[in-house]
Amino acid sequence: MRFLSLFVPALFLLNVNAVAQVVSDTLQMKEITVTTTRYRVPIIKQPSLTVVLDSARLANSHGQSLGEALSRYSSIFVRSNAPGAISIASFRGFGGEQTRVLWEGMPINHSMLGLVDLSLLNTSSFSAVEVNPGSASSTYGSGISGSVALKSSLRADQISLGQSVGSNSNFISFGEAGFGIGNWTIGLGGSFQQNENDYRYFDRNTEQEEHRRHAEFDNNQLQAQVRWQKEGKRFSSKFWHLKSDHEIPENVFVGSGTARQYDAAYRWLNSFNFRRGKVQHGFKVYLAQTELDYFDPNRGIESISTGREWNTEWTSSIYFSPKFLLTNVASTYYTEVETNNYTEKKVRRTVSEQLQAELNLTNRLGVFPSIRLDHYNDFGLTLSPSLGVNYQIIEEEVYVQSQVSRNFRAPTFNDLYWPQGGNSELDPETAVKFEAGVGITDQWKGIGDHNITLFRADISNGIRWTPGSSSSFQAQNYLSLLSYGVEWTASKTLRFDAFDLSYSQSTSYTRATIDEARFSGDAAVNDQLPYVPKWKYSGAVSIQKGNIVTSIYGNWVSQRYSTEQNEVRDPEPAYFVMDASLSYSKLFHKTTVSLGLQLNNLFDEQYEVVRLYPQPLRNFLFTLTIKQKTN
Amino acid sequence: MRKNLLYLFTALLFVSTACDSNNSESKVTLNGVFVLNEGNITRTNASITAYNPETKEVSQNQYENENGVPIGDVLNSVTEIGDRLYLVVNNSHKIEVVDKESLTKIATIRIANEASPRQLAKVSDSKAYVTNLYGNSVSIINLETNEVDGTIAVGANPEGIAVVGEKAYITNSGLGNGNTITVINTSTDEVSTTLTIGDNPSSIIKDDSNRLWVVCVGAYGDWNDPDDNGTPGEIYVLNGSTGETITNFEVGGHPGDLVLNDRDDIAYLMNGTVMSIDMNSFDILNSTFINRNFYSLGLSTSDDGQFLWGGDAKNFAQAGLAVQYELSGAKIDSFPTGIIPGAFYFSAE
Repeated sequence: MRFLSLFVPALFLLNVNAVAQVVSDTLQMKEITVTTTRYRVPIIKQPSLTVVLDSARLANSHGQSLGEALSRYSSIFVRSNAPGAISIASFRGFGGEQTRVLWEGMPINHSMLGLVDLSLLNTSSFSAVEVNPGSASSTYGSGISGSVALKSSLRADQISLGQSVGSNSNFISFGEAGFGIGNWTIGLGGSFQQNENDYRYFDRNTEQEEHRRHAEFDNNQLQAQVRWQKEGKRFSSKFWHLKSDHEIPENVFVGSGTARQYDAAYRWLNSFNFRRGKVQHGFKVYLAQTELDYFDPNRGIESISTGREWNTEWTSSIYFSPKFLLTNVASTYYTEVETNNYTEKKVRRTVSEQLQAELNLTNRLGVFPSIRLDHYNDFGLTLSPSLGVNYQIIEEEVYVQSQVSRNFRAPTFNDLYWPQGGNSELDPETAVKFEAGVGITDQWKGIGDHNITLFRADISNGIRWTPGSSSSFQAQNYLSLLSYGVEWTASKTLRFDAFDLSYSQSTSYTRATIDEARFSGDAAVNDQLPYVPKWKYSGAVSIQKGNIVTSIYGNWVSQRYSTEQNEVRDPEPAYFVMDASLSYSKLFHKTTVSLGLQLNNLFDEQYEVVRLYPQPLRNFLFTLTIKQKTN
Repeated sequence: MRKNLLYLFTALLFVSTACDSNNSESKVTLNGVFVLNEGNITRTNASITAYNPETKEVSQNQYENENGVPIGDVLNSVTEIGDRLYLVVNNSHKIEVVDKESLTKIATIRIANEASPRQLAKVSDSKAYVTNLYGNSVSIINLETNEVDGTIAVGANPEGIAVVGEKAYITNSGLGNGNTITVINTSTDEVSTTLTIGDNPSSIIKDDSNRLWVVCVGAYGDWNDPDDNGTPGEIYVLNGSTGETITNFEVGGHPGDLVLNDRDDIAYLMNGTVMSIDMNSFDILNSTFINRNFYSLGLSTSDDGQFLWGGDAKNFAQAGLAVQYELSGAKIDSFPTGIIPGAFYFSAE
């Protein structure tokens, strides 16, 4: 069933000026509290680099997965097997298990696998996304890489409906409705995607153009929110349901595959904030259930699991003075997993205590010490300190920032309990990270916003599945890694008569290696880790005139190795992919109609992010959106 | 590269692989070794390493160099038939037919339904069988058309195959839970009987006396119970003409490749170490004949003597190592391979 027909009667209602938000929304987002650090200072006063994908950027990525949007707008390398197939964020040489993904400040990494498949998350589900490549465990605990913080805030003043139709039988229906009643606001939103995903690609096996098979992808998401606000007190209840059913394509030399996967997640977050005297309190209660059913009839494999989480968090921030804010966060996490892979239900209980301070010693100097203690029932205590600093060389114009932290990553349930090789004796991975950056805002000589950050991470006790004494693989703490590099982000907006021109780019260099031999004759020492490109560039240029906006996006990724010993195989070739979009909107009374066209892979680049998983050749997505103000 | 290959394989007379060693009585000079590197499953980094024992020259990625494309996902075994090699690429569900001198691709035989082919054996001049691990079947390969002519249902998860006269013996491993051999009448392509033997039968090798040596790996036991090591490995020796069991004996552990020397007097079994077994008394002569754990084992024969070749997969993620031994157990040489050296092919003139 297609959902196009649902929206045809609504054609007379018209709106949406998402395109007009290209500039303004981005700038406004700099003023919000940064979720990934919990520090209540603007981005340019944070101790570590933070990039925000605001609603405008997310709107420009409509129809794409979160992985595709992150790849377009940040230094993250997203290791994507293909549209509809698994997609994992890689920060600064780290893997998906090491990357912390938060929804409304709650970790949502899968307890068995440790990662979040970004292909399952649609950009339309989020109002903003924060990316903090160097975030510390002192803030949210487990996770030695960066953080991606997802925010979902439905608007209270409009109804919107939309329909996208694209190449390869891709149909997306989406809508959102928000109302304000007194102190209450209620919102409901959702998206429904059906994608045959039988895209064209060049097959290196058959050496001819083929259509992808066994890659059908259905993804439905629903959100409901209630908010109440009165005299400094705020309550919100957010519910997010995700259901995905998709076939899993193999690499082209394996065949079309027979496996498919069903995912479902129910997440419900209640939060209450109020201020009493000098203390700002916040309470969160989070309940979640995740379901995963992987089924491969050919191999007779079926893995069924249900995970449940119950987390609580109490935050109290004491404003001793404008120069000293002390925040205490006490958290409890309860996670249980039932699966046919384990002999019994597995449970993890964690109690955490975090203390962090914001010391604005002068108008220009901010110091950010933080310490967190986590107690896990399965491996005991971990201590995660961090210290950050931000100095405004020229206030609001030129600044330096730096942070050093000790971090850890808890072993996943599969690392601990997988019947064939799980190791209940594992310790957490640990990492000492350091970063230092210099930033310039557009206020300084009008050259735009720039940030250049150097980073380094030393990882020890890295968990890797490796052959044991009987040649069967076992999870072991035996990896020592080094990662270092530099990231440069830049953006600029110019106005020429009736034209607005905006430009943004992200360039990164990452060197990530195994730095200690794991066994005699280890030939992978000092080689670049697999699927960590040394160089990555992504850029976007948008031109807006009145109601018309056109954008061009470029994404270049240098060669990648597919094996830990680099010389075993030739590197996978670099690729450069350009996308373009064109949108037009027109206002009729309170209703705005927008038409958008996205052209992806303009030049029909034959490329693979992951070896032998071909990406689509040129394809398009046409979108009609209708929005109407409700007040 | 190509010149080197031509040099290596100009006059092939003899073939032996780790998995289906057919010991020949020919006495010739070993002039080339192919190592079949499985590669990591789903990463399609299988490869073939060529080694010249005389010049010590090593060439990696020979198939890809010759044909310009990767060979596929999990290169499992090789069988020589005439002037061709049949490379069984397990997780690509295909058999690449190549010229045995140049490795130039001649044809691709696709096995339908993602059946996961494992071992191929010639049953007549125009026909071969290939076992299908997940298809629970044997595909009938037409050697003239390079097409699949039919399928024969066998037991669960067939692995090895050996042919004696008009009988093809198929080991049904059941991925650790099987204990049967399916016997197929090769003239009618029908199952004639099913034999019950030890747990988890894997490779099956014919000696010059038409005896069949079956490696029963042993059941793996309950993965959730660290104290449950399953059942110990065994060797079954069958009469290839009748299918009757001649003897069976425990070897312990969970053994892997078995190779037989050309005098049919000593067998070498990979089982944590390399152990030697008297093929007449069926006694274990030395349980640590080579005190090293290998992933694969091969035996070559030439005028210069017989040699054992062990494939060391290291950590299964980087280049492995092939190690050459005299039959005295003395190490002679070694050279790097691709990822997971899983089988050997020897050519001699």
